Amino acid sequence: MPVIDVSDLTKYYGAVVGVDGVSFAVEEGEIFGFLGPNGAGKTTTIRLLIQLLHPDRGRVAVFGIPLDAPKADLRERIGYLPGEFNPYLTMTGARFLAYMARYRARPPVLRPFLLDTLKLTEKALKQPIKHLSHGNRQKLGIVLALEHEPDLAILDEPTLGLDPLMQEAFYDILRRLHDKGKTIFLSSHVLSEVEKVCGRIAIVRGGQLVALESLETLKQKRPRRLTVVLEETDEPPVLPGARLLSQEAGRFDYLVEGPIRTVLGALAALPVQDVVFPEPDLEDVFMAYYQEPSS
Amino acid sequence: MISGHYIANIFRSHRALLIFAFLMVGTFQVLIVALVIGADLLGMIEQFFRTLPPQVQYVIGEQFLAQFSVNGAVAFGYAHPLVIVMMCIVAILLPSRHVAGEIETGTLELLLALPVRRPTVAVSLWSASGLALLMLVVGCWAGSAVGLLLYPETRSMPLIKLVEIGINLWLLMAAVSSYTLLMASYVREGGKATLRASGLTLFFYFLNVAVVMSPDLRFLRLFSLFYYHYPQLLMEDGSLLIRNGFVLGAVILLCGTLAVRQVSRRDIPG
Repeated sequence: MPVIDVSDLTKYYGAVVGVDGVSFAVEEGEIFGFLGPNGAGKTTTIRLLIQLLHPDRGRVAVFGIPLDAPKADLRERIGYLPGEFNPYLTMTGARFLAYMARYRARPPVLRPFLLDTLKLTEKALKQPIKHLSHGNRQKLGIVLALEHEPDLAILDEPTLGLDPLMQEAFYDILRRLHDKGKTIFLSSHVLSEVEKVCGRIAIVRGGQLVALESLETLKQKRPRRLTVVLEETDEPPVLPGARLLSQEAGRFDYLVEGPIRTVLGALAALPVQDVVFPEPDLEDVFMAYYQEPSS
Repeated sequence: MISGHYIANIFRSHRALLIFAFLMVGTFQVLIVALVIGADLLGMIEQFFRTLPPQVQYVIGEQFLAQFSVNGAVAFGYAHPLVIVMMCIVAILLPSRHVAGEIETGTLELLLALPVRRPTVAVSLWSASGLALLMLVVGCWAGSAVGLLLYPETRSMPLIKLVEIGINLWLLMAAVSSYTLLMASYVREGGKATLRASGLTLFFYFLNVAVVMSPDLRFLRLFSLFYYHYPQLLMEDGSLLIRNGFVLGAVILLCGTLAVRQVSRRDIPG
């Protein structure tokens, strides 16, 4: 049974599309990446999952329970970090965590571990939140979202404002939760982040889902770059299923869109000096999906 | 249905304002009693009114001076603009800041992602506003009680009347707070909710003034909430509390219920 099951989810803000006909499922114990450019519908989808927004059409079930079912309140089992984390600025960090924890029945069992891992010191927690740096506020948000060891963590741009060291610490936290069988729904536009921790990703653009694959499948499906260096020729060879991008003194760059086997067969008959066939870059994949269909 | 944590947090966030308002309305009631007993009040009032513009003398003087007595003056403390303004600030500020204001700042999104139901938040806020206003009414009662203790000449003052007047004042302010909550539940900016609720309150207030100034407009008096809080009249006719309680109670229930429903149904941030 999927932890999140979204079917034909649609939300409009007047005439403006939020999401339109989005369907996907997130399995238990999965780290699921949710990618898209600004305004693509990531935050709208998340707010629909948290029941902050009400869908115009479609169905959302979390832990197998439809969110529109009477008395469906699953938030005890969910941890949520919004894209823009805005705590009560006049409270101290410690009081803020204590106040918010009172609304949950689950105790904040992971708080010491999270504070320690994210290097959120006692001194920082004693300060009013308005005096904390953006990075420390974001750490506070991560602690709030995960301290009760939720079965499902929904995190919208969680590494925003964290330095690279803290980002690594955060990925460790995610891996630890993953090892415990927790499900993580991670919205991000940081490609390296998704590449590091996610097993499957969905890409949204213009409110619609344009891809839903495992990371490996997605990379394999997309066009790959190929650089061929030939001996004693400036004439680019014709490779079936490959499009010439550029050339310079016997060095030819292609974009391989067809089967790799055909291209390799064609190369075998040529005076090849060198072949560079780089690992598919997620950024290429990402950009290909991000581009508007017209472009 | 009601969250004690939430109510405590609201009181904590506004403790400076509430303590100041409590002391101010209380001290004001002591001063009223002191003025009535310790000074030649009527002489002073008449002298004061001579300094006011003729229109103001007409508006305030006719009703105020006609009913002036020790009891009437003490009752006037519960309808004085200073007390009304102070209580309106609390009645308007709390709902607008904690619904629309918190949607604007994003803190309501955080709170509603926790296992707390929206009706609980709305009802708790409604209750917190009512409790804060009750605290200010208690401040008024405490001020009057101190004044009456300091001046034994006023022991003939029927204390039950002050209780009735205080209840009527609370009902008026709870009505203001309830329609503010309703307005705040439809917008996403705290400033907009405050402005609209303040505008409506001023409209009610000046409608009441206009009705007093112009007998031709008397038919409009029923549409001003301030018509249902007239302490001097209540001092003489206790049955008015039932009428006032019925009208103000209906406004409180209707606006409060609609507000809770709207908070539960609306998109956040929307």
